[in-house]
Amino acid sequence: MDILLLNVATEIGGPLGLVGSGLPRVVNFLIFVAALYYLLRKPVNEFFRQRAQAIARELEEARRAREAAARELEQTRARLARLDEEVAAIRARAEQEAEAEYERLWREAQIEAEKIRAVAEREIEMARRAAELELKTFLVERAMARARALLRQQLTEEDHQRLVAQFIEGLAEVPR
Amino acid sequence: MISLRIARRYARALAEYTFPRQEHEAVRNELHALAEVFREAPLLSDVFANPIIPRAQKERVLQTLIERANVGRTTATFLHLLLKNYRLQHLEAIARAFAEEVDRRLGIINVEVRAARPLQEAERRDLHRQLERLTGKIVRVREVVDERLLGGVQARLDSEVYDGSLDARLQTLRRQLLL
Repeated sequence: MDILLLNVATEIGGPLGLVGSGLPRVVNFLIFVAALYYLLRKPVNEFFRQRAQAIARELEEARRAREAAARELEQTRARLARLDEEVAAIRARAEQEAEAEYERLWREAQIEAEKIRAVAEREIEMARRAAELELKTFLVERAMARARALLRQQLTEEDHQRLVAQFIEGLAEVPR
Repeated sequence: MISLRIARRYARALAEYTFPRQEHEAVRNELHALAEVFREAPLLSDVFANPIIPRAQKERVLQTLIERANVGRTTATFLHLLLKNYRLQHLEAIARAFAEEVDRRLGIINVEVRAARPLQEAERRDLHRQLERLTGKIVRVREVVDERLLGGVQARLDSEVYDGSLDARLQTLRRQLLL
């Protein structure tokens, strides 16, 4: 078809003396463009339409993605805000528990200390009594030993007789 | 070691037999003498306790003892009975139980009197009188001079002890001081 158009242009332009100029070429070009337009109009339109749709779709997707990101950001912010609250709540609870634990441990320590003190007091008292008894026993035994020695030295026959007489009198008072 | 219950059972049986015949004193003295022999010769108890030695041999040993001690018929029969019942090796305990049984039936009580020094005759008489009044029985006193005592007297009647010694007074004082 290009050749035909070229021939037509050549035939027309030849006698007019235009063949040697650029007119046929322009015409030829215009025809070519028109032919191109006629032939490519639909596919190009279709192409651009699809392209536009694709761009629009991509824009839509981008918008959705932006919105989703914004929502996520919002959620994250909200979560972060709640996280602070949760952290504060956990901290508060931990402080309360720590305080309660401290109180409990303090009370237990006081009770334990009281028990230890009571036991220590009892042991001290027992040790004191044992020492007192030991000392008393020692003194009494010494006194008894001394008394026995003195009695053995100083007891006279009259004392013996008196002791026997007292015993016999004592027997007389025992009921049958 | 024979139980006191068994020894007393033999003692009571022998007393039942000897008292109506007025043989209790003689039998007691004979058993006492034989018990002394057993105490001084522990081999005798071993012989009579030994199950390997034949009965006939034990009979011969016993017969020799009876003849040498010249015991009466009742005592001899009782000794043969003890041998037959495998109790002869416990003669000391049985003799002691019989002596106690005789004393009990005669209303006699044995009193051990311990004193720091020998009692004077008047003291002994007064003490004896008081003990008889106290027990209501005939008192047989065994006087022991115990030099460990400081002074005073202790009288033991069976399980009862009347303690009039200075030692007892000191012990009472000691207890009071330790309270």
